Amino acid sequence: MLFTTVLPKLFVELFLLFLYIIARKTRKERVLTFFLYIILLLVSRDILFAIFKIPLIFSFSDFLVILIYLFWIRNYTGRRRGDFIFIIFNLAIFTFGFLDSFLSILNLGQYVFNLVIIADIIYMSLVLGLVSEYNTEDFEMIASTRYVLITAFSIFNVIALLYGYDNEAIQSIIVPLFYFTHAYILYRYIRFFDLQREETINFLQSNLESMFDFMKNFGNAITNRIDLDTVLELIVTSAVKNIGADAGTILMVDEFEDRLNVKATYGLFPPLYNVPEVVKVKASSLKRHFRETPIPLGETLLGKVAGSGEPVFIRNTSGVEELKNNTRNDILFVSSIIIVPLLVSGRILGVLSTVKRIENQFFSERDLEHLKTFADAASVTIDNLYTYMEVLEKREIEKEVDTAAEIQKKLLPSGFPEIPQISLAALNQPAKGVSGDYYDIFKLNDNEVGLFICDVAGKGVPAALVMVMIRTILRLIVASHQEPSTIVTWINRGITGSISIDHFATLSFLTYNRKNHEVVYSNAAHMPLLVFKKNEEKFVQVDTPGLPIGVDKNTIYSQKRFMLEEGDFIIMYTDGIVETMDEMGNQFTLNALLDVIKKNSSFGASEVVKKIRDELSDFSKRAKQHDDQTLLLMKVE
Amino acid sequence: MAEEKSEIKEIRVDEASPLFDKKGMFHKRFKSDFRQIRYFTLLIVQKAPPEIKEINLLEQQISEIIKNAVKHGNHNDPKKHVDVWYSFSETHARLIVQDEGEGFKRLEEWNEFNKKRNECFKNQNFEEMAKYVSFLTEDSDENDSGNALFAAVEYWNGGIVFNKKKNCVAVAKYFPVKRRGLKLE
Repeated sequence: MLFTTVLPKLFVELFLLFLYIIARKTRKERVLTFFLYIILLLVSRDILFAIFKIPLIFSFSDFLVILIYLFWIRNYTGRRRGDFIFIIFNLAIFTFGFLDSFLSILNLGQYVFNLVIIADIIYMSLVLGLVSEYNTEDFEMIASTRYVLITAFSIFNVIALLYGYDNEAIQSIIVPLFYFTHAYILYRYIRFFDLQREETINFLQSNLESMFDFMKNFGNAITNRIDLDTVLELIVTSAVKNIGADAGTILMVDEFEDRLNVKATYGLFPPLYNVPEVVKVKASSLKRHFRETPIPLGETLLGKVAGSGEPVFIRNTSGVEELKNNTRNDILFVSSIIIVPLLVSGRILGVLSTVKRIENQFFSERDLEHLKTFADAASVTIDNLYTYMEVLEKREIEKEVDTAAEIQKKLLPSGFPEIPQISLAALNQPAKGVSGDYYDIFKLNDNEVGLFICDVAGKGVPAALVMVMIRTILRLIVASHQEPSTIVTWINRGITGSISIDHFATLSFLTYNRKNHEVVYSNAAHMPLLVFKKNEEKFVQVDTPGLPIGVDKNTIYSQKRFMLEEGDFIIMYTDGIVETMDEMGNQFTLNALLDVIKKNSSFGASEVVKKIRDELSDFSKRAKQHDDQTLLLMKVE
Repeated sequence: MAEEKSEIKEIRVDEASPLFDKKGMFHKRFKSDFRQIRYFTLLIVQKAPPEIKEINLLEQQISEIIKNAVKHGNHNDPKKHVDVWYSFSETHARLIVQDEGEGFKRLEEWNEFNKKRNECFKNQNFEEMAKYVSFLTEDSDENDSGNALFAAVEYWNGGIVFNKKKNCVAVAKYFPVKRRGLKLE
């Protein structure tokens, strides 16, 4: 008797355990443990029933099995309030049932508990029936097992209700047969799990392929011409196509303000805020409105993702407060949305978002994963591109600066003419990116030398070109032995109004004749000439009135004549010398320059220039050089 | 979506303003020659680093201030001088311009005018605003649109300050620092 009723059941349970162990061996799914609980429960209840022979044990354990299945389903659907009532109701009835069977209060018949279990099965059927693809993650698995589950439980319990648990045939045949239901569900679960794993592998594979695809497209896009907008368009397009979205967009953080600018869209990506009715009328105006409206950080879902750096995935938008403008049946409708941040080493560059716009079509967790991977690669790409463009821009500026500096360098005389009784020296330290100073020294004949200094306003290549023009005119007319005032006047006439852009310069020109010791000097608004009189140990400033070159074509410049004696110096310089700044912002000043010359006036021109250079570098130390420094020095020996 | 700043900018008189601190600034002295204003401006603006974008706008604004000093301050008198102190970096432009004139007498009047103009604009009262299109004084001529100062108060975002005599003005412009992305806290 015992063998016929207990052994078949234990035998099937052993088979279940065997199935479980095999399943567990290769699959690390935590959910599988539910089946172990069921098996252990069945084994213990069969042993207990064999010993005590109380049918109530059978009903109670059935409730527990149903409860385990319920938890299993809830693992996918999430908890519901009805479950709580279900548990309380059952626990109350069974507690009373056990008390009743020991104390015989009401002497409830076993059929009462069979009815309770049938009620439980109805509840479970309801729960299973309500599972649909819209509210449940792994709907397919539950859908494929629910009919078997419901049918088997119902049939068994109806039989139990009609014939009672004590029936030998039921215990030795029906119950063991019924246990195969669990085997079937376990088998379906394993099948489903394996399929899912295979799908994951396929998904990763396709993820990888689409990344390669994107990289290839991206490579093509940048070999032609680097254009960030094109690359962003490409990223959105690839993202939308790869996850089967209906529209997508990329927004980038503004360079100066805390807001997002819409940079690229694919399809019709509706604004996630309400827009005026006029805008809704036409898709094109809606698109334009979205594109042209920056989104402050932290506002709307897009702004929130940029603010927090956390992705947002809303599978089904219906009932979501933040998307209340996008759930009505109009042009703004969105059914499902994913927003991922574009992050590079803790910096938010922007956000990437895709939407589905067809009712009852939703993104899955996988799509989210897919988009995240995509955003990762896109962020690094965009960041590199920015860096590259910055370097290019910097190179562009530097190229111009270098070109100008190169022109300037080539214009300067490489050496000084050898003339008896005259020592000449020059100091020229161009500042990076300025290139406005120019000087020249000519041997006009055996006795005469010409000194020219010039400071072109402006910088870069335009200034360098003005310099070239001045030099060309100067070299042409110097050979014709004109007076300095005539030379300056002619330069002005040649430069002023000859090309449409404004170009200004200050310059001075002088000639010195070693036979009659006469200097003839003409100035066009440059720093006045400094003359150091050795006999009197003092400086004299010489100037002639006149506008800068380039202001008025008809300016006639004048000149001054004066004599030099042995040991005298003449100094021409640009403001860059006296305006040399130290790190504190103090300027070198003219007096400091005069001091150096005076102190070293017994030396030759090149020694004095060397002293000046040393003093300047001592003074400025590590401060940035703001302007070209140029100084011409002539000593009468 | 961003709310517009409603604060009305105005020209202040404050001799103690830090904008008058000339430390570390370059200095140039010009004759009041209207023909040379372009040159003066170029001479000053050439000290600005190439990283400053919209350098033409800066040049234009500096030119306006010098023009004011030469024309309205010194009345184009070539015996009178204009002193300019200036300093630039990638993030700022500062300028102090002093003339030898009588000073900007109608400064308060201008502030009042500007305030009303802005109120009209804020209230979208364009009929009333027609009265406040340009601010002209008796020494304005056909070359003055009376508009330059409105643009100036917008441009010099670090402020426009006059000394007590109102013949010396200090202005500052701060350039935003360009950034790429936002650091997450």
